[in-house]
Order: sequence, then C-alpha cells, then structure tokens
Amino acid sequence: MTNPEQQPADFEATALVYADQLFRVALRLERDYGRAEDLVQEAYLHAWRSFHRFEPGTNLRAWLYKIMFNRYYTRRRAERLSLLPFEEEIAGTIAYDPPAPQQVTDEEVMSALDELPRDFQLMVALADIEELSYREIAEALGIPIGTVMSRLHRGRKLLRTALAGYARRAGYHTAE
Amino acid sequence: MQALDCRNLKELLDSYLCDELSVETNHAVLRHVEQCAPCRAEMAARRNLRETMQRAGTQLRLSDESRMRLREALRAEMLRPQLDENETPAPAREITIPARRESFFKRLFAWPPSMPLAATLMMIAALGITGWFLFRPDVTSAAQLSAALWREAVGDHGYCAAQFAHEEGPVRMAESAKSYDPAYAELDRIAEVGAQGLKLRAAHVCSFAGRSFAHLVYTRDGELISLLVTERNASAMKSGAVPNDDGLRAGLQQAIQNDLKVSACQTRRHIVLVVSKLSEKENRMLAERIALPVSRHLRSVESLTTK
Repeated sequence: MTNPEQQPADFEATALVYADQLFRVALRLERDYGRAEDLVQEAYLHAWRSFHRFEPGTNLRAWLYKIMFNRYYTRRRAERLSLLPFEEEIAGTIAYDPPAPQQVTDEEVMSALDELPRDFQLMVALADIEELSYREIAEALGIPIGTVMSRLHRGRKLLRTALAGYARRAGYHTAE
Repeated sequence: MQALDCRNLKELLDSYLCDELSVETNHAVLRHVEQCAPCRAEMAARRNLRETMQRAGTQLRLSDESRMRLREALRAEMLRPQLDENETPAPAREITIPARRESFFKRLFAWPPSMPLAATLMMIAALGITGWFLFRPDVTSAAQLSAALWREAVGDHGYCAAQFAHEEGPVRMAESAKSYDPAYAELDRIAEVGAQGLKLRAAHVCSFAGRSFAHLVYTRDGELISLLVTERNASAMKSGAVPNDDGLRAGLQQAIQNDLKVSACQTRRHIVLVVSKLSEKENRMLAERIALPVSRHLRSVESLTTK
C-alpha cells in the first residue's frame, strides 16, 4: 500500500528527526562538512519526492538511509568498486581478537574509529553509534544481512585491535 | 541450546549487546557469563566501549544554520508542484550563439579604456592572425556545456530563488561563501554595476542535485532572475571532460528548459549562468550586463590563484 496523500507536515515531523544521524553518517562518507550537508539535503529532497511511494508502517529511518546511500554511491560508483576488494583483503588477514580495553577515552575511541577502512567504519558507526539493527543496515545498504554481520564482526575486531595498540602505547594493561 | 565455550561467547558478545540474538541464545550467553569471570569482565569492557562510542559519537549534530537551510530547502520543495522522480524532465534545448564579429571588436576596444592607442593598435596587429582563427565558428564557440548543467541551473533557480522573492535587501554575500570558493566572496559587488534596475534579494551558496552554486537572486517587475556561478568540472561539460585551458571561452551559450531561459559563459574554472523566464533575447542581454563582468572578475581571480 502506498500513500496517496502526501502530507508535508507528516514528512517533516517524522523524517527530520533523523537529520542529525544522517548527517553524521554523511560526514563519514564525504569527510567534508559542506558536502555532507549537501548530501543530507539531497537525500531529504529526494525522499520527499518519492514519499508517496513510502509504505506507512515500514521503516522510515532505514528508507532514508537507503536513499542517502543511493545518492552517494550513484555519484561515487567507481570509487566504491575500487575500495571494497582491497579492504576485504586487509580484514581477512586478522586472526587475533583482542579483548576490549578496560579504560578508554572518548577521543581514543573516536580516532580509532575514524582510522578504520571506511566500509568497516560505516558498519560500526551504523550499528554501535546510530543503533541501527542488522536488518536495517542490510536494507539501507542493499546488501545481504550475512554480509552486514561479517563486516561488522571484522570492523569491531579492527577497532579493538586499534584500541589495544593505544592502550599498549599508553602503558595500560589489558586483561589477557 | 548447548552451553557456550569462551570462544563462542566472544563471537556473540557484540550481537548480545545490541540485542540481535534470539531469546534462546541470549539465555545461553547469560548462563555462561554467570559462571565465567573473565567473560563477565570482557562483557563489561565491551559494554563500556559501546557506550563510550555512542556517547562520543552522537555529540556531533547539524548546526542550527544547517538545520534551517535543510528545512527551508525542504519547504521550498514541498511548495513545488510534484514531479515524479521517474519522470525525466524534458531535455534542454540548446542554442549556441557563435561569437559575433562586432561584439568581439566592441569588447576589444572597450576593454582597457585607458590604454594608449599605440598599444591598442599593436595588440590588434598581434591578434590579427589569431583573430582569423577566432572567427571560425567551430573554434570561436565555447566548449559545450552539458545538459545536466542546464538542468541543475534551472533546478536551482526553481528550488531556491522562489524562497527569496520577497526578501528585503540589501544583502551581502555571506562570509561563509569564501569557504566554498574564495572567488565567490565579492560576486554581489561585481554584479552590482550591471544589475541596475534589478533588486538583489539574496546572495548565498546553495546546491541542487549535488552541484554547488554561488547564487544571487534578483527580481525585476516581479520576475525572478538568478545569477549562478559554479565550478567548471567534468560533469558540467558536454564532452565529459574539462577542456584544457583553451582560451576560447568567448560568447554566451543559451538553453531553454520548460519556460526558463539560461545564458551561460565560462572561465577557466567557473561557469556563470543567468536564469529567468524573460524572453531569450532579454535573458541574453541581461547576461551580457551581469554575467560578463562577473566572468571577467573571475578570470582575474583565477589568474592570481594559478600556480
């Protein structure tokens, strides 16, 4: 069932509450404040134009993310293709699963996250910061849920590995 | 569900923390950590890590200014008659105006009014041969602009300018415009001379379909007129690539989309466009008055920033 009557007030009230989180994710994609803002705006305008096709009762947040990723990847198709295989390879080589650090500062976590390869960074940010479910992430990115789980698993492992590195440099002891 | 060993547990911990496990598996996780102190510690550490990441990661929000821009853009969009995104807009009809002999000479003489006559004559002599090449129509016309650029310019005019139709000037190009492109800073002042009889309603940087524009919104007798400046990148060019600095950017190109007229001229790094519902001729005359001085200004800025 689609929504024949587009209600501007409905759309504004229900969709705009996600603007901050879409923006944070856009910033991970674009790495530039102005471009991230443009991407979010583009996603919202696009979403409004196809709002009549949105099925009430289904997940609005995942739908908005999906539109945003589509806008982004349409523009950057070439980049995406060149990034993925390489990053998959890096992550595939990590066998060690370090324990989570006992003490960690906001800055350490955020800079470790920012340094992850982007596709893993994105997964971790979506699941652990923006609290999307695995299914929502799969829907938003248009990939199978199994792929979400495996990338997320590797992403979190990479993050802990980076944090263990910080901890060692800072002289903390981790429980082994 | 079978009892979990420590290795299995660690694989499941993150999914447990974000509530992605089945009720059964959840119980198995809890049963294990009740009896295993190291895993209990690991669970606490990962929970702490996740909470720290969440707290730190959600600090960043859209600025009030950005939020306002988003809301305004959305409201402007909502006021527009709906065009289904699958309907492709009618392709822009392009009219290329070959650079005209008289306008070339007129500009040549009008260009540096204070230049001594002798120097001017020398220049004419120097240009004599190149001039012949310049007059050949295939060479004189500027590099062709893409249909996408015409659409984006018309789109930005339609989406953005209407919101400012009743704003009270005078306004100045915002400081922030410089962060997009330093060349945008003085645009309103440069255009001012040619814009007599027009009322400046807004001056800002906005974007449409992923393209950023420096945007001056004018009205004249209730008619909206946009002066847009944008980057001359590959997607703006019909050939899909930015021509080398060809030096052949003379002349305005025109296009019509729906009832909107667009006139454009180019510099090495920028494209200046005038969009309105005026007649083709009026729009072009207006572009000659306001877009050409802007393009001259941009050329001088560009020559300063050339490495």
